[in-house]
Amino acid sequence: MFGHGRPPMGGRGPHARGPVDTSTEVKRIDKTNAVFCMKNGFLSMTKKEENGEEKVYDRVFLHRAFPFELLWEYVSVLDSDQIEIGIIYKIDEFEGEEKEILVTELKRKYYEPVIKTITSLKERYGFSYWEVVCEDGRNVKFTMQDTFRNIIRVGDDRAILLDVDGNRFVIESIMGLDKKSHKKIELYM
Amino acid sequence: MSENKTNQNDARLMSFKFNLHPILPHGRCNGEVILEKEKLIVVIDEKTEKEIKTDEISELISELGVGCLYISCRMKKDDSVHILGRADTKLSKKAIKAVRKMNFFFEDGVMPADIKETADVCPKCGRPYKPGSSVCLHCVDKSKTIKRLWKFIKPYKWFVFFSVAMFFGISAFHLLNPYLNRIVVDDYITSKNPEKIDINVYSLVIILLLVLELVSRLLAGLRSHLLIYSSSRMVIDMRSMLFNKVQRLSVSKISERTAGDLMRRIMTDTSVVNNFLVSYLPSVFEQLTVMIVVGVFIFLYDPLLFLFIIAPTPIVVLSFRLFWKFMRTLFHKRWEAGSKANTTLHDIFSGIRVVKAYGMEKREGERYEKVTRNEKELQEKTDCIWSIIMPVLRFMMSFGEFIILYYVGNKILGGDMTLGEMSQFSAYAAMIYGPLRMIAHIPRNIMNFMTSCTKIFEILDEEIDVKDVDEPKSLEINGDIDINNVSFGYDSGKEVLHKIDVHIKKGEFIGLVGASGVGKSTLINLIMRMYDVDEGNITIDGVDIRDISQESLRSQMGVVLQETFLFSGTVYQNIAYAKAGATREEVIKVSKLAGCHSFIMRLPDGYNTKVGERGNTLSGGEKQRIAIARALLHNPKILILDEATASLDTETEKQIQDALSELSKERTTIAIAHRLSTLRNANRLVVLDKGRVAEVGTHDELMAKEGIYYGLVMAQREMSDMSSLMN
Repeated sequence: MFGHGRPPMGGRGPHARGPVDTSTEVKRIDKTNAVFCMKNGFLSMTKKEENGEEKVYDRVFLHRAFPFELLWEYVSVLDSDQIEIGIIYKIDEFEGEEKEILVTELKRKYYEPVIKTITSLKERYGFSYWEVVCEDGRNVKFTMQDTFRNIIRVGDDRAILLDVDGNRFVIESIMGLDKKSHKKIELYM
Repeated sequence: MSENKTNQNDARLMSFKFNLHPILPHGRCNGEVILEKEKLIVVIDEKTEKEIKTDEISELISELGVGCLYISCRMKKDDSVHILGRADTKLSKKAIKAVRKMNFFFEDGVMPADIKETADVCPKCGRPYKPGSSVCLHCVDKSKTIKRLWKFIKPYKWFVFFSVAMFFGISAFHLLNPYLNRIVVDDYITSKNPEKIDINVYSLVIILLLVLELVSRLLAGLRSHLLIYSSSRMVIDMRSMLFNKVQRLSVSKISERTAGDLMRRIMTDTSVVNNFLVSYLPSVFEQLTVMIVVGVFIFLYDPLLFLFIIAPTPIVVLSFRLFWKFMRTLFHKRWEAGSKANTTLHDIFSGIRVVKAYGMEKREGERYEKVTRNEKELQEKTDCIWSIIMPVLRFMMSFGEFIILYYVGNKILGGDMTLGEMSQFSAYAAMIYGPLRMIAHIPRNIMNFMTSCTKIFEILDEEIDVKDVDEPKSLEINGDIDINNVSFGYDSGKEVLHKIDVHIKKGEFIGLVGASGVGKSTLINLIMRMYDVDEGNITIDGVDIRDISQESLRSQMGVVLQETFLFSGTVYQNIAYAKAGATREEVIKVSKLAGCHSFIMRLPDGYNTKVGERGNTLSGGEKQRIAIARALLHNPKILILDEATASLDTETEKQIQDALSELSKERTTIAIAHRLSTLRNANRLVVLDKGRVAEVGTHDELMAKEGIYYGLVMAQREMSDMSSLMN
């Protein structure tokens, strides 16, 4: 009856609704105009404005524009109100510790364990039950519903799996999986 | 050590777990945030990482990452935010709820009563529930499910009983048939003494065969009629029961499932259960009984012959199952490819104007060709494999028949068996093979049936969360609304409304103002009791709305939404929907008031004009005016306008405004509008910000205050100046 459904979980995160970004210009952020560091466990940025003044953002958020295809390119930098400050075209433009901070922050925000082996895959009552070994050697069990729809193919060889809890798992190379794992997942590819 | 631990547990007000390291990107950990009266402790892998005094904390914050949740705390001193931990999505729902609860403590110094919680996983097996379900398909007691089904069959038990009895009658005739055939062959056709044949007896046997055939056909027809009769009624019973239950569920429960899902349960699952109970189950029972009876008969006659008949069975059943498993993968792929082709086609046709406008016909043609080619290749592959394997399986099945032929032939040549006996046992063998083929598919059918059953009972067992008290009041509403310290959050998320305290007098026009997502619509949903509040209460004329019957409450409320829904039917039916038995005169009167009479009369079919599924033949403004006429006819004591004019242009909005002011006369009105000009008639404005009441007052008072409302008005004026300049 009501179109206004439940709000997104969390509320304040990057998915929350809030002030609207009205700027029409793409502002580029690179090593010439921004310095990143960690503060209280969060990413902080000092940006040189066009008028030469420096502005400190105690906390900034990173958001990938193309999270399935380009992991380290076109990364939006948002302020605490989720208004875009600018876009980093390539993380590689930064060097040393700063680059490491950005990479870590992105990896931290996008929690996507990489699947190395599929040990078991069973389907029942419209669910598929997965037991996998992840890159860090952990055995992980997860469940998928509507499995075909929740496996997102990226290019020919990469796949992202979305489980019922909203977790994301990545298969970096479908062809690179061992034969047994490949056979198990073949149905969905 | 253990004493220390006990003391720790005593001091603990509450805690929640997290499983990702706050800093290391992929570092798993065993983390816990523990709230004690004096301090908040963060433990990671049994090591205390942080201890913060509770009076230094302003609030805890939960923020979504992608596939994870950040938990942090804001300090009172410098408003700085410090990370505490992260959780993957498995733990995040619990963490969000705990954060919400702890924030009550940081604000008031006391722990709130339990905030309603719903389990996401089965406590028994740990498997997740299906979205919108609270029943585990794996752990549900299957025998109980079957017992409960008896309730549906009970009214038609005699129909089912007679149909089964008739089947046994038919089967008895079928068993008799080969026997009589044997007599015809052995005693008459191949008789060694043809001169002794009594032609009258022979004719009688033939007539008997004819009569048996006729009676068995008639019985089969009658049986099928009984089955159709009971099955169609049973399915209607099931559907009505499900539909009524869905109607009684709250909006939140209903919106947990998609319309498609509910429709599938009501339409498809009931059919699956019904077909299984009325057709498949009796059929399996009948076929197996016949198989056993015939088997015993053959075994008693010749045990070796029986062995030859059933010899290929295990191999065939096993092959069928293995083959099915293999084919299932291929069929799945083919189904997906077909579905993708359909989706692509639907996509192209739906957007054909865009396709043509951008001259993309060729590209879209290639896209469609690619998906259909894929489907064709998979189809060829499955058909090819099917056409190779099926004959092999069939041959294996018929292999037993050749052995029987060889064995029986030898017996005939040796004079141990007659031709008639051969034809009789061949017919019996066929009666065994039929059910055997069916056995291979029984597990799959039972699984489908159980799944559908569980889905049906899931709805029937769903607890009604917004329910009437034992003796609900039927209140004649005056229109005073008191929202007393109301807090509310949806199941999955954090708090949406926090301690809202608003008092509305009868006949007042209240405007609810605020940015998107601040909780305006949620507040309206709470007033309509689409959800129950977590804390505080809402009263109408001094009576808690939870004590008023939902029917009485909502029948005296009128709603006009941004997205007007018109049912398929005529304009007249859509307006008259609000009042059973409304006269044509009343409908015309309210249409006049709502300003829709004139355009309705310009339509060739007037009030009999058919409107499509969503009133597609009418413009947005026209549909909205019909909705207002509907609300006027309803004559509600409390009127709710939820962005009723948001999607309209300024000119239409002005017309609608006039209709709305007519509608809001002498009744309590609560209106949400982004376009603040819509609220110019409001007596008071309530400005919400981050789920709290930020400002209350008249337009002039709030403008003088230069707060949030002032900012919103100024921003809109600026936009309006800009658009007038552009025009």
